[in-house]
Amino acid sequence: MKIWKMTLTGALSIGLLAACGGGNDDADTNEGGGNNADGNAENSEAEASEVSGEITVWGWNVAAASMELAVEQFQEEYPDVDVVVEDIGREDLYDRLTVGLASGGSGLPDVTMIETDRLDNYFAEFPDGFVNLSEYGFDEYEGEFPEAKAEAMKDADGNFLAAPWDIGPAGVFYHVPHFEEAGVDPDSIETWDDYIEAGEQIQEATGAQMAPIDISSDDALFRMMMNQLGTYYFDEDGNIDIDSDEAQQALAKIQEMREADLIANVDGWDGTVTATINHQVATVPFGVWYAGTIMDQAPEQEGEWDVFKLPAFDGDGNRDANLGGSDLSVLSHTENPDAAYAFVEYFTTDVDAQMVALEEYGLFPSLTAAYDEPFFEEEDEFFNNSPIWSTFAEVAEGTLPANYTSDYARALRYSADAQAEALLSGGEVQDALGEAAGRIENETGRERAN
Amino acid sequence: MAANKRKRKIVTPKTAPYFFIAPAVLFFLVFTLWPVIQSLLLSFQTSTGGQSEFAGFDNYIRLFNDGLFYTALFNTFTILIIQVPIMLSIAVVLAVLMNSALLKMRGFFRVAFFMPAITALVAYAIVFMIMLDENFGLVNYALSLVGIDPVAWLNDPFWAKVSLIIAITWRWTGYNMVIFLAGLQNISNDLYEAASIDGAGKIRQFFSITLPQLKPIFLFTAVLSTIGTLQLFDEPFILTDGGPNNSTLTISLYLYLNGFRYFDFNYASAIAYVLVIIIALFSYVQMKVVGDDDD
Amino acid sequence: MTDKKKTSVIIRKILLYITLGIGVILSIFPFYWMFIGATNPSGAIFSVPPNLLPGDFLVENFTNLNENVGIIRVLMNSLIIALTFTFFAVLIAAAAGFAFAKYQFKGRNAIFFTLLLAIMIPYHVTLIPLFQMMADLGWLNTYRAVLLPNLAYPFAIFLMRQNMRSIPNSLLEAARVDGAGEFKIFFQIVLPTMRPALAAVAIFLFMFQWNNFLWPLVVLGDSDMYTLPVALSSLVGMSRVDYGQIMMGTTLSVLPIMIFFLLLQRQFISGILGGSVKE
Repeated sequence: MKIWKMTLTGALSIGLLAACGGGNDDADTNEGGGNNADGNAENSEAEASEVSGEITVWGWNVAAASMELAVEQFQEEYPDVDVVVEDIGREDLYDRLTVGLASGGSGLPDVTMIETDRLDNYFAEFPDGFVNLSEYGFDEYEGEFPEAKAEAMKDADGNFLAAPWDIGPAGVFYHVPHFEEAGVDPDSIETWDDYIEAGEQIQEATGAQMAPIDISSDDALFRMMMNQLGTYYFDEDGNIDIDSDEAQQALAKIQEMREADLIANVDGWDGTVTATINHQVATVPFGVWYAGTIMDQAPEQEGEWDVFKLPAFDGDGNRDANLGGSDLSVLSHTENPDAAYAFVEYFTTDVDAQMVALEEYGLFPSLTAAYDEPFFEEEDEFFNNSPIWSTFAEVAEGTLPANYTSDYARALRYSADAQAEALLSGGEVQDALGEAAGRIENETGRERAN
Repeated sequence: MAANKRKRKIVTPKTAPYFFIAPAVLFFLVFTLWPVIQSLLLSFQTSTGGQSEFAGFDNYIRLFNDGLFYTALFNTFTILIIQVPIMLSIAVVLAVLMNSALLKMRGFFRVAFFMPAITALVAYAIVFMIMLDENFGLVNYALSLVGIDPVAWLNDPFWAKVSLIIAITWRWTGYNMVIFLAGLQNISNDLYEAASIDGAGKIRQFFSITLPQLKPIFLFTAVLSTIGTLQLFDEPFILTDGGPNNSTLTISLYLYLNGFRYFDFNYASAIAYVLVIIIALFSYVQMKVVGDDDD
Repeated sequence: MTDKKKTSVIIRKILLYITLGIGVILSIFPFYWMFIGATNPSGAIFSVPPNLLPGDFLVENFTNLNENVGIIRVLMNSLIIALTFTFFAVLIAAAAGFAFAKYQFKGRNAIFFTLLLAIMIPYHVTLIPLFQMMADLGWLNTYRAVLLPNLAYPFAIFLMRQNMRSIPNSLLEAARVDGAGEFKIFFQIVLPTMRPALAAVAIFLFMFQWNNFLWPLVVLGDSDMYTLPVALSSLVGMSRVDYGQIMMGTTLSVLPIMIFFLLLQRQFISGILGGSVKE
């Protein structure tokens, strides 16, 4: 093993050196461009034409499709770069990425998509696996993204190891006929208590429950609520915060809903979709990307759906939160870091590319400049002629940062365990979250904030 | 011809077996043993931020103090003890029925029963997820027709285990049935004829002839099913992800979580080799208990 | 008397068919449901009460699937890989099984036992070292990398050995007396008499390779080279899933292996364990 590993790391570091060498050169030219500030077109065009070669990009599902759509326009700027987008299933992509990084970078693409909450996990375990985008000048775009999003892209030293792509501003998707039948005005729902009250009315009138949750394995609502309250599994210093007062408040609220029989316990993704389109539930609190799912799986329900912001915990509390989102990273074994960076830079910072991804596939940009596009003012026919996209843009800009950390995967799992304990076995919220915190502490050696 | 002559000198009944096993051994050494040794070494290391160092038995000591590992052990054994006997019993009964002289279209039945074993994992996952859904699943729908309340198949600690047992049984009963069928066809008809003359009924014959004659097959299927269940991964991975609250967490799933989700390959390797030891012990005990007719 | 006997036979027949019929329904119902899914649009799979009738989306689902993952090509890839693998793995297993069953040689039991131990190792744990090896050999993204690691398939070797034990030693001795070399004995006497066992092992190996998922997933980078399980899995994304296409794909994934089993099942039954039940 040792010998094997030594040869490998040897080979790898040579590769890395080469990559870094190339990187530095490019960073210099880039800085040169940046110093010329007013960026005359000639200069940047000359730069673009120097970049050539073929790069491979991994993504899944609609994300892969939307990158594919951007290639043509990218090539107008970089005619000598060929981009091959590979559509790989989400879990499959992570398995391949993990195996590739663990074996020193073999078999990997030049660019890959990674979800925001998984970034820290990869950065911490495979620090040499990713190209430092700051060396290529990505820092100049920092101000163009919401702070919470930009911060999540950086390693411990503040370097960008990923470029921000889409985000998942959260909202409550609701089925309009149910609300009408029960005589509930969605605008009157300002707090979670209002939401529960409305839920009881709706259930009485229609028999539908309020929200689908895959209790035993997904804690999405809990995470959105924690984010609203300015907390998460870990605090900003990386200490375990999953048992904070706010987190307890959030889980207790979900427990209250469960006790009022407003939560439909569903199985996995398929179960969530089923409950939604069959109206077992009147609302679905989720990230913006769920809009695409409803449109795909229930096209006949056009006009029946609408969106309001997450209710607050008290009168004028925060109603903004985020769920999900993904980013692009350049992998350091790439033979063509310049072309890879060029694509990442183009795709994540070009308003047109981002708008195509949104309009075609519902992938919500984190690039704030995009929010000025007329599309955001449009009323969406599918969604009851409401301007849902501007609602989500507001949410995006007001969302508080969350520190995912390198132990996110563990925390996510133990959090779902705690949720199952509190909602299925009737455990005390405080004990359930305390146990989760204890497990994370044991396995990671992190301090507990509480 | 010349080549033939030379061969005859080298390949004698004494040396031939080495030629015959050479390809298998070669592939085995390179593609199985070598990775095994490497991962075994991994289990004696710890790593942080990509840097590995020798850690002796630290991972193993950690494992023996890990509550979740014991949960996984407990779950795996619970499923093993309940599922394997149920499945083998159904399989042997089906095999005896299939062997009946009264049965026509035997080929159709064989294929029908064997089909679950050949299903691709992705198909199996989606079909079972949707069928077992608490609210809209076919299974609960069917139950509602006979007036039974919906069951939280995948979302209740007890029923989740039951669902796994049902799913595994669905997938592998036909496979084992076919193996039993093969065994039945090797039992001489004379034995049954003699028993009939002695006045033994069909049920007596089943217990006094069929089962004892099938003993080696039982050993074979039991060892294979035990190994399969101790390594149980697919079903909990796709149906329950080990939940709710770890009630269906199995050893292999825990291994996967540590390696592929938490990136702790060292700890994952330690789990793997403890599992190998457990499996080896079990197989050994089964062979001793049933009495191995080999060797 | 004969009438009574006749009725009892008829009753037994009815009971037999009912029991087996229920078993068959339980066993193949999910496949029927899969097929229904393949003939309906994506959302229909969720309808309440469940839809159990074929729809008219069969062609559309197939067309979409073929556009998305190139299903015909993927089927061919899978077929070629599984058949090639099965051919060589059967040969290797037969040769090794023959040696273990019919020769005395140094280290026989130790080697056999080591092979069996390998059945007990969870596959996730060797995945990364094996992948590293393929990377160092420069074999990533080749069919070699998919085929080679499992060619010495311990379970197949075990089955072959069990079967080979039933070959009478006298038959081999007679051939030797006639001057046949050991290889000639293997190819011209052993393999032909072992045809049922070879069929049984072939089915196991074909099934294994046809459904093999994780290893092809990590070593095959190029989507043109994907096998069926890998391609199907790529359809299962996070937010949008076309269930019609997936059910179409899964239906197609079952067909070839069913045909393979149908063709070989007769031999399969008699060859599965020939040796181990003999005294």
